[in-house]
Amino acid sequence: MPSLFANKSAPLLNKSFTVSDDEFKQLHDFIYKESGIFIAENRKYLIENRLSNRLKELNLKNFGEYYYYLRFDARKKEEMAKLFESITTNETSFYRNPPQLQVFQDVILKKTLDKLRSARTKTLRIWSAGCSTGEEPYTLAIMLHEVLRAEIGTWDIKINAMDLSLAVLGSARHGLYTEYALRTTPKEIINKYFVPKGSQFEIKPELKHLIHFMQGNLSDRLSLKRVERSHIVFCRNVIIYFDDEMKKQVISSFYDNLLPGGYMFIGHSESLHNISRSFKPEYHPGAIVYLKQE
Amino acid sequence: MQNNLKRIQDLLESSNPDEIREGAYLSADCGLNEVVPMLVQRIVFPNPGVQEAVEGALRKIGGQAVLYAVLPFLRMEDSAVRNIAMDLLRDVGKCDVVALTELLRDDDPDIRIFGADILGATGSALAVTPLCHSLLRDPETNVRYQAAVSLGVLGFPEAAESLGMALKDEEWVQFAVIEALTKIGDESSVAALLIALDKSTELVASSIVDALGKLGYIKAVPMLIRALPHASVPLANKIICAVVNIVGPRSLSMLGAHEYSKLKAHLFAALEDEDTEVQDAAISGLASGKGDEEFAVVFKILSSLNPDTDGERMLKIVNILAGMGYHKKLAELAAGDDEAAALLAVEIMSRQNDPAIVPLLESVFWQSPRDLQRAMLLVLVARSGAGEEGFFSQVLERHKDGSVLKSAMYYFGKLGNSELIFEKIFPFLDHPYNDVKEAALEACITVRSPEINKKLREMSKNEQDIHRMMAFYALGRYGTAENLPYIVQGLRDPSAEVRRVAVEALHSFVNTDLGAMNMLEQSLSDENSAVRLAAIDVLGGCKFPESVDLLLKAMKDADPWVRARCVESLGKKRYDTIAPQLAELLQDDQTLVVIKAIEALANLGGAVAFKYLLPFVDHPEPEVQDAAAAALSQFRDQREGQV
Repeated sequence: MPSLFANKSAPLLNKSFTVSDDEFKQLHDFIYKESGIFIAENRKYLIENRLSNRLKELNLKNFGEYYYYLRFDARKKEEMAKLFESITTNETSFYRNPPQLQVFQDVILKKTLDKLRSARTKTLRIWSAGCSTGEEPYTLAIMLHEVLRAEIGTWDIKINAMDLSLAVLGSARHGLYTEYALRTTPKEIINKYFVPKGSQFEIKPELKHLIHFMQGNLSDRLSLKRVERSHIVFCRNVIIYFDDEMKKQVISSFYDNLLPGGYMFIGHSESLHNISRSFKPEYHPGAIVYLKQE
Repeated sequence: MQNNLKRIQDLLESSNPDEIREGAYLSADCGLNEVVPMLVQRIVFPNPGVQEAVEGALRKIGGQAVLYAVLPFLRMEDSAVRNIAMDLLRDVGKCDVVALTELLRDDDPDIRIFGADILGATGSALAVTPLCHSLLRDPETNVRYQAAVSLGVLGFPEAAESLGMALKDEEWVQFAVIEALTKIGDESSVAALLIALDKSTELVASSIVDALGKLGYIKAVPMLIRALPHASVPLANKIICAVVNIVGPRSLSMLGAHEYSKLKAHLFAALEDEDTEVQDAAISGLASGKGDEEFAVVFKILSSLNPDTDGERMLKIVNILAGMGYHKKLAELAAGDDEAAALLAVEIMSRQNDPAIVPLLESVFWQSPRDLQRAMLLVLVARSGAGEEGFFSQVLERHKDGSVLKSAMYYFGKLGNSELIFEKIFPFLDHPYNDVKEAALEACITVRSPEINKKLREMSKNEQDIHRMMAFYALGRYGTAENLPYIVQGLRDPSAEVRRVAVEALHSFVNTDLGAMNMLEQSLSDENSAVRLAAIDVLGGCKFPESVDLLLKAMKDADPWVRARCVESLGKKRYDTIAPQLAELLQDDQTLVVIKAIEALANLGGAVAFKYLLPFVDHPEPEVQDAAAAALSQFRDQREGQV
């Protein structure tokens, strides 16, 4: 007889599900195939901790049934979105890692804009890959407004914001955030670009207009070719989910997408060591930025 | 193929970096040997993105063609190009080790270094002899150094003798040799290291001691201890670390008092070393002494650590201190004002079994802060028997903390006194926290008292869903026949959750009472699928043959998960007469059900089931194919078993 409170999160008798070696392999291969996300053997706990609640809610007996659910159930598409949400930590906020963003605003963006101006073009494309609930692309949009001010209306700017999960993209499109998401955002920026809505804050429409949210899988090289070529790519704290082979493929896709002279930002704790030698690293106080040489 | 080849050639001939990269990707995808010469020429294209894509393609194609084509690039002036060639050759070198050994005879020392490096990555025994020759005979230090490194990477014991001889080489080479011998790690490596220990400089000796510690060879210990008095402090610390690692703390405690006293001063000195590995070895060594001084100094180190960053290390030290036995200092710490120290003392005591622990913790319990009380109670529950009811009753009466209450209830459940349970625990079934309720219910079930059973029956009519759920759950666990009519009422409860629990409660009856089993028929048509699934699971575990008829009816359920579980349950029952009905589900529109039907038929075995499954080996869905293939090999195994 199962625990009485199995569906009620009581910690004493409510044993969480354990994943067997065969089930882990099945789910590992499936997740890798569908998303490129690599879950190492020593992170089985990730599957158990983050997906046990899904099994309880779906009334499934074990992870083998969960695999079948993902493969064959009529609601598998919705479940896939929930699966990806569960296994990718969506820990993010506006102005995450300020020193890196400072380098973007003060150095890279200005340099890129100057270069475009001298080439007599006012088209700028930025790709925010793995944008989660939108904090990163909106932060970039704010910075563009801060740098270009009144001139922004004369520019053709698009930030292509991509994520694997439709659910987080839905939330990103709404643009409604709690105070917690704004914990590292300067007060004057909040006042200028957000409208209080109850206990939350809504991003202003002029920022939303700059962003094109799109669903995409970074492990699908061919589909990434459809993303417009960019002057700057942001892919922070995303490649941590991939194994080295997939990291190489994804970084190579960013390289192909970048226009010559374009820049790539990765997470401050991430590195291209043993992944790619194609980029030229540029060292700035607080950030390393990767240049695709012309 | 020809089209692809033409397209790749065009792309690789382009001057546009993007096109060359695309050509490289396509080459890799197609794995064409014909394009290797063109790809190789593109390594020198002055664009790192192109170079990287070409390198990736050549790596993927691999083989001798790539090896021979890339070899000349080792002589290029451009270091980026040379590095690419090195990386590729490390990958493909094993295709022709003999060709690579030629590099060791080259006039250019750089090429000999590259050759030694690449041979190390081949994993081939054929590389050992030429590398040993280079190690001992090459006039260039860097070549000898690289040969030693590569022999370590290869790890063949045949190299140990030559490596031992190379311990007379320059210091720079000696370090590589020591590392190589450590990697090889057999007895001859240890012998070579021991011979060199006395004759080495302080720095090299330190590396040798590290290596001996890692190798864990017991015969090295007397020689290491003999070296202690003449060693500098840093070297002595390394020796202490090596000795503890080799002997292990348990065996260390078997050293006589005299031997231990020789080590003691060095062990205390090693605690001051910057390296935590050395400190930990010293801690293990000191613990084997079991004295007051040793306990105090090790506990001081433990309390200076940060649980967030040093959690693993702290746990190790707690276990070491617990292994020293119950110590009077623990009582002082548990009663002291320093909560963090008291928690550590309780943690240590939780791993010990001394009779002094229970009275000590009871005496300081009420004056302790909440987190400490929680920790203390876990120890008390595990260690207390009958006779501690007074203390635990007080806990239930006076405490409000859920964790503390659960621990106390667990004690009463373990004790098994129904009067106490009734009086002290039953009221907690109304507690606002689910986990506390559940702990109380578990204690009520564990005690198995008729009075409590009666109370539970009354509770099955309670107006709150949660109480009825608890009642049916516990009545099922009690399993007495008199409870059955009450549980049956639960099958018609207005709440689906309660109905599900009532169905699960019938599990205790369905193997002894056919009537109880038949009660499940109504649940098979319950409007809620969770209830139907619960009924299927219970019927799956029922041994009455009549359960099969009920399950066969449920095979037509609208919910594919109910059908799948139903088929699964039927398969486990192994009634071969139901093969035709199971086979009907092979045509189900849900793949999941089809797979489960295949697995169920495989469980039944027999020629009829075999006949149904054969066509599914070619099913378009790979999982269905796999299930059918697994089923057929199961048949084959069964038949071979019968033969």
